[in-house]
Amino acid sequence: MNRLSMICLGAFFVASVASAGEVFVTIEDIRSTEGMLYGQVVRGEAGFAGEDAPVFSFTMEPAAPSTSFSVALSPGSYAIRIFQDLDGDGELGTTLLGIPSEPWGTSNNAAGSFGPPKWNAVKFDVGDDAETQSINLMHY
Amino acid sequence: MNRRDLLKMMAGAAGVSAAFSNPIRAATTEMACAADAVATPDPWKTAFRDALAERPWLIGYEGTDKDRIPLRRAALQGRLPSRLEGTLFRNGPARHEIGEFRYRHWFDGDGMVQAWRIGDGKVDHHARMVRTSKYDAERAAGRALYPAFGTAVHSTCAVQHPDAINAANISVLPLPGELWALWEAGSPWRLDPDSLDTLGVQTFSPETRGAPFSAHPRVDADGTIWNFGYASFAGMLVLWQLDPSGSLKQATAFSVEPMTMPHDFVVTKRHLVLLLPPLDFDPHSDGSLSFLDRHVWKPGRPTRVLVVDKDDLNSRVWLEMPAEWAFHFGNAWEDEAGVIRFDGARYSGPDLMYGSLRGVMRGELRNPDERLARHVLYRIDTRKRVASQELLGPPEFATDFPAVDPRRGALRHQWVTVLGADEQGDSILSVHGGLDTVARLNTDTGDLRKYRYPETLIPEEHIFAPDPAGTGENQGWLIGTALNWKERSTVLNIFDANEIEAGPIATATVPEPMPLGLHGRFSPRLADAL
Repeated sequence: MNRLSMICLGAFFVASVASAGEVFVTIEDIRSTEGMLYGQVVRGEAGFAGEDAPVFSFTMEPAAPSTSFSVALSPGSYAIRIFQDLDGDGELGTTLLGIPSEPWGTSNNAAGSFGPPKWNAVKFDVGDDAETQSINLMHY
Repeated sequence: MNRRDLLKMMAGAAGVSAAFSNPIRAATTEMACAADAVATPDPWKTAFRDALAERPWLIGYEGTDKDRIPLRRAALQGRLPSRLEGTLFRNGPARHEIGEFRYRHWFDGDGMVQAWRIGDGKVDHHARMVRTSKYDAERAAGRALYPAFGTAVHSTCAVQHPDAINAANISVLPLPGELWALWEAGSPWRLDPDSLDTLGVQTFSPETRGAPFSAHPRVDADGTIWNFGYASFAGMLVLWQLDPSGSLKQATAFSVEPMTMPHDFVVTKRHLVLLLPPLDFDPHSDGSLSFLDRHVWKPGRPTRVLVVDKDDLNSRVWLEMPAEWAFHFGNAWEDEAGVIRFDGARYSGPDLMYGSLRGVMRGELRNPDERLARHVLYRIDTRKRVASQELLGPPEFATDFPAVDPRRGALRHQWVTVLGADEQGDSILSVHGGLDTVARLNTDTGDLRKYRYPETLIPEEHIFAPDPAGTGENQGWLIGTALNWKERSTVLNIFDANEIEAGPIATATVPEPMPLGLHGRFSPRLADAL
């Protein structure tokens, strides 16, 4: 299992490191080492909706069957979303109808039903204590 | 354990964000999930049982819990035409109950495909449930896990792609060496045409995976297969062109707002024609409702007419006509002036689908307020931008399940065969309240010739099997099944297509009351070995 330590690069992040709670994230069910894992940590519903910039965006080399990292976040509500860019085009591949055709996953393993998962299903709260998130990639 | 630093900031962050904010329709990891508790006993199941005791014809809607109906030789009456050889494949909802739970709509139950194999002076029959992933998961769980067309099922099971809830229960499409069981909002399921064993889900290409492929594909004279599909949650309509073997030639998807649920369409030599009734899918409606109940009928709004150029699927003309509902159409052709003409069974609205097709699942009689369809001739003039329809045949004669000699496909046809019934005042005379007659209508004159089934038989769709020795329209046979609710048997009737009114010339009977089903196709091929 790889363990990656995330280093915060955003100003928001740097400012809040002092009171940060650490989140340990494990990505499970990685079935191939092709492509890169792309991910985002977003804060609040506005971040999830793409209205606010992600708190954190990252790229990792995949390691099968799982890999992990940790990230320090100030208190608040967050969501994580990840996909594996198998074809190397930098985007989440989808079918004609928008169904993800590349492996993807979200915090809380929220799968969504008849559409993408909703904020309430993906959000998790960060306080002063350590938090863990185990994200299973989903494959279509 | 390796410890590495984050490699780099994500180069394509904007792209990722855009991709994630697109409507995501899902991944396929099947996770363990469970159904919410349901009332026991199920009041619908109890109501149906009580009604069945009083109205034995309801066995047609009871459903089966059998996984297969083994091959057996049918008892023959009359004389089988020597040149009629092939297989009538039929499909329809068959498993109406899972454990203690009974579905709330006739269209919901998982599909069972039947084969009636006609040849060498014999008729054999067998049937199998389509082993969709839904069927297998629910059978293993012993309860309903996934929502159906007209039934809300509450569970923790995520529906991440349409095939997770695909019931493969509406129709079939025979192809060389394969048979597809068709649903309406997902992929075809592939079956072995001889054993009827399920082979798996059909994927045409990575891009079109899971895209809806409707149950009424149309086949050109050269074997080219055309179809459409509606993807309600994505708000898109899909158009398909396949070669005669079923391989993808092209597929295109485009937004249609609001989306609706067309069940059938027609093709001419040059065009695809869809009628999109104002039964709007409301994406903002209560997600705990059934798919059917997330639609709203808006009779004040028009039925949209979509005409697509076969040579350029991006060339589309939109017209309007007054609100109407139709499940099924006959055959389309274009006259010398380029006017598109076709026939179909026209309802004033979709109330039957919301009413009796639901009520029958708890054993209710048909609501007489729901007017059945009338057969009409449609006329679509894209140049003058006029779309209209006029009644064909007697005004009291209700119709549906039109069938036309396939040799007249995209050519002018004179005859259309239908299931029908005389609807006098508010009532139909048949004991079961449904269509009780097989009839043919002359599209030039409206002349109606009919054969009314005895009261103990409930007829299902009848389709056309051409005589290989003939070329004229209607040279061949009309073949169709009926449930004998009194004898608890199912019959296959064969009519001379030019003399339907004389009644069947041969009848094959199996002592098995098959669930009343929906659609079939005839394939001029017998099984290699069974």
